Amino acid sequence: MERRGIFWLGVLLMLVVLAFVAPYTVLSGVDRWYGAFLFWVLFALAAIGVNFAIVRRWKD
Amino acid sequence: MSVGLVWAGVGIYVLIVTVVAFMARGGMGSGSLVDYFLWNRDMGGIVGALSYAATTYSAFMLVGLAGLTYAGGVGALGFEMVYFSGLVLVAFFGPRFLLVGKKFGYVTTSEMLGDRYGSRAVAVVVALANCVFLIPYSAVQLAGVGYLLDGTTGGAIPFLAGTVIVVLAVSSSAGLVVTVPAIVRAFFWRRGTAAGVLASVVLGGALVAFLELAGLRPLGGASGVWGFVAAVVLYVGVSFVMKAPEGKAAEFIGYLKRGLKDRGAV
Repeated sequence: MERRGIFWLGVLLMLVVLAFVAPYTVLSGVDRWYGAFLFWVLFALAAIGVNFAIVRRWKD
Repeated sequence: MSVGLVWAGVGIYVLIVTVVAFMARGGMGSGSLVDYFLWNRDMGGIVGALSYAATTYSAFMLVGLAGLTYAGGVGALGFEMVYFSGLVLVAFFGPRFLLVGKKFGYVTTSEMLGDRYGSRAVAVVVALANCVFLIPYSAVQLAGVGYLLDGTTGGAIPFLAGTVIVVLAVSSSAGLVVTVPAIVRAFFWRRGTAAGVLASVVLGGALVAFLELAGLRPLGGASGVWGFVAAVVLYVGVSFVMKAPEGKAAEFIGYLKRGLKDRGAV
């Protein structure tokens, strides 16, 4: 559990870094909906996936 | 929007909140700290989610984020998504808090950290930091409602009146700050008296409200800062003037000390 949780935290951390880097570098010249807008939407879906992966086996 | 309609909306809101508060009060079991703040650690998923939503969808988001989008465009989406991804901290640490909280009876994080590191100083510093960082956040909530009422009524309900409504209805910012010394010292200072608590909360809260409404920032300090200073001085000062409390305070702190010792905390 511990190692798995830390792995997913690491994944999310990388996604967060990407959420800053990508829109302000490679996507900075794309003034269309499929630019930063789509990127952040996909980032949000990935973040939801990471949250789900972490709490999936939790039972109280 | 017509001013009457807005006033009616505010009135209905206050009424509903009051009714809900009374209903919740009737449904409370022991009336203990855990019951009040954590619903006896027995809150279901739906109410838990609603509680999270109520925390998140505040003026910070409804007013602040809308304004950020208006001012900065799609970049606001990035800001919000990164903020939202922080929920992973709840997913990861939530179960840990839940387990140790149930095991050792913690209500707040400062309590837990103080116990965990065996240091009162840690608990106090964490509690103080929480309060300090909540001051701007709370202030934003007040300002948000003020701007909303001002904007939707075209200035008929001025920003100040909107702020007064929130101060009276919620009093979260001032209340939060001025109760700090009383709460913190309740666990550590045997000499603290009820009169000291009352003086610090009531007069400290009044000072915060006065500075906010008058728009004053003495020496450049925010109202919350002065409210906090006043609350500390009043609590300590009044407690020293009054007769030392007997019975309960010693019993309370003695019980805490024994409980902490039993759990291996220093």
